[in-house]
Amino acid sequence: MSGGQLSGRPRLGRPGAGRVPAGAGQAVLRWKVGHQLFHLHLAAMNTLLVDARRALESRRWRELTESLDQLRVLYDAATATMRYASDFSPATYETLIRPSMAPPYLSPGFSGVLNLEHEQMLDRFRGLRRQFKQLQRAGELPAAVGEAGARLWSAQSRNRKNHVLVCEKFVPEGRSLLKEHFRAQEETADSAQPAARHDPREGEQ
Amino acid sequence: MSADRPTAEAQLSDYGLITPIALPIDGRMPDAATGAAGKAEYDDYFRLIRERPDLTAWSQSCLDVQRQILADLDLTELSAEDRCDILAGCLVVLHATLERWVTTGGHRRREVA
Repeated sequence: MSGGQLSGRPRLGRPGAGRVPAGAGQAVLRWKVGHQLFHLHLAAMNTLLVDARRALESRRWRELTESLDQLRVLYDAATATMRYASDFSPATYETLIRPSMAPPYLSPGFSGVLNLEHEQMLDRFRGLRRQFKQLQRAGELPAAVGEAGARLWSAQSRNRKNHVLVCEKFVPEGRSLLKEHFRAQEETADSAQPAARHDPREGEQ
Repeated sequence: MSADRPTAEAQLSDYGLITPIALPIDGRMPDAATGAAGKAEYDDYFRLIRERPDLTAWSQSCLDVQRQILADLDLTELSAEDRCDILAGCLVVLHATLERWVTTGGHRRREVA
């Protein structure tokens, strides 16, 4: 666990110690190495998205089509990689993986939105798609490029659907750690309403 | 050392004029909720190390991760299509990496010539 290496954090036993399900090591490996592979795919996608944007801006259609098709392959690979990373039982997720991402092992609010490469990829993807659609509406895109684009948007759609399925497999009610964190914050804020003045001597961390 | 030259200790302490300030490791303002998880904690959890771009380190990471995935892939319950998609993704990443090595090798050959 990484929690033991974080400064100021207590060194505690493993999450769910004493009731760790069989195959726990394999689940941790798939969860973490699967995410590492996901990050490698995302870094490659970020590189290709920059290449695709340049090719689009300079109307180099063959290069653009190649980049879009490679991006499609990587998007589908990222989708399958998320299935790989979560290829263990919901019980293992609930007793081992999920607790490892929550206090006291990690800070509250830990979630996939903290994934730097994914955030960059989505920004670049949106930018490329916006420019792509503008040219498409203006009738400036060759048909083959439009078809490559359509294949890529389909891969993105498959990825989103798969993400929902993975979430439902592990947390049927959608109780993500981030949602729980924000809900806890709101509850804390509500209960603190009467005490309007903040004493700086309190809560210093 | 010259007697009138500032000592290392004086330089380090800035003559007591400067108070250090704290900056987040990710270069951003902290989240509104003090103590909330950040990108550095995410990276730490998944064992991601941020460093200067280096093709050798990148290639080694690709080899290490892909080797582990390939050794485990047959033990999973993934469909044949999912396994094929993962392998195709690995191939695209390795292909792009090899292209960069070839480009780097070409530059070196021209420098030697």
